[in-house]
Amino acid sequence: MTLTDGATVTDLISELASEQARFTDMAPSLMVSVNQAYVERDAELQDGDEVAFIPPEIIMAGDVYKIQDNEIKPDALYNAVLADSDGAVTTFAGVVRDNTKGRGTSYLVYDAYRDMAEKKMREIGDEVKDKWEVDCVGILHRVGRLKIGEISVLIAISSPHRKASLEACHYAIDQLKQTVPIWKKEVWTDGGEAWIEGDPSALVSR
Amino acid sequence: MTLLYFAWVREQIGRDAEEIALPADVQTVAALLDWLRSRGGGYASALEDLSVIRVAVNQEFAAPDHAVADGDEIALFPPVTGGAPS
Repeated sequence: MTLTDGATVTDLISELASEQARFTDMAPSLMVSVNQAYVERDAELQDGDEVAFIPPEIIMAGDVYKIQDNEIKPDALYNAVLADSDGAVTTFAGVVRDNTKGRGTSYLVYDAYRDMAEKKMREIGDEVKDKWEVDCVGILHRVGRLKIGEISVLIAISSPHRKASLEACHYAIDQLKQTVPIWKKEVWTDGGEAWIEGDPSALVSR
Repeated sequence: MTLLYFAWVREQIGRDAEEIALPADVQTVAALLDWLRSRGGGYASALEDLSVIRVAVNQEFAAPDHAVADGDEIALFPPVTGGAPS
């Protein structure tokens, strides 16, 4: 593939999409790696680079911090963080419950400030690695409309010994709720809906 | 300057993003919020209660006295609640 100097991943995607119309639809959900490391869309490319487009179901080994639209699959993240030197993997899955304080939930909608959220997720991973002897950290959060029972957030942390990953995982989800720019809207079976929290219209819909 | 809106802030204002030319006398987050509010309509209703508004400047949480400049990416949103349903 030949591109101009300083071309970015975005440019490459445009180029590929112009040749293959189907690529346009697929492209937004694909993860991109250059020379076997995940990159953002604005990463610049050099001659000789190996660029891979990876469907979201597959996660490369190592740390991962991602906001995604499609269904979260625990096995993929588990396998991504697990290495031979690990004796434990702790996984936390936040799932959509069928009610909030007795009020029936129809579905949830999650919104995220994607770039900042992934950055904050990485900061949590760095913090956890600093505080505990853990190996890899994976944090995935889904956005869009989620049904009862679906996973909204998944954290997987591997470590040589179990105490570290158990404690780190607990800390990570608590921190995520405090610092990661993601918002949840509840839509109830009685027709009401509200963003949690501070939604001014919530005073009316409750 | 790029402004990004999320959650009910986005719904009340009616758009998820916009580019603006920063007025010369708007130099802090607080001044920016006042200026936006003065536009009326969805801006005024979204920003009526600043105690439930949080701001990020270039992807870092910012206090009201944080400086703002042309070229910044400013996001307005409610307190974060992401992660597992509470």
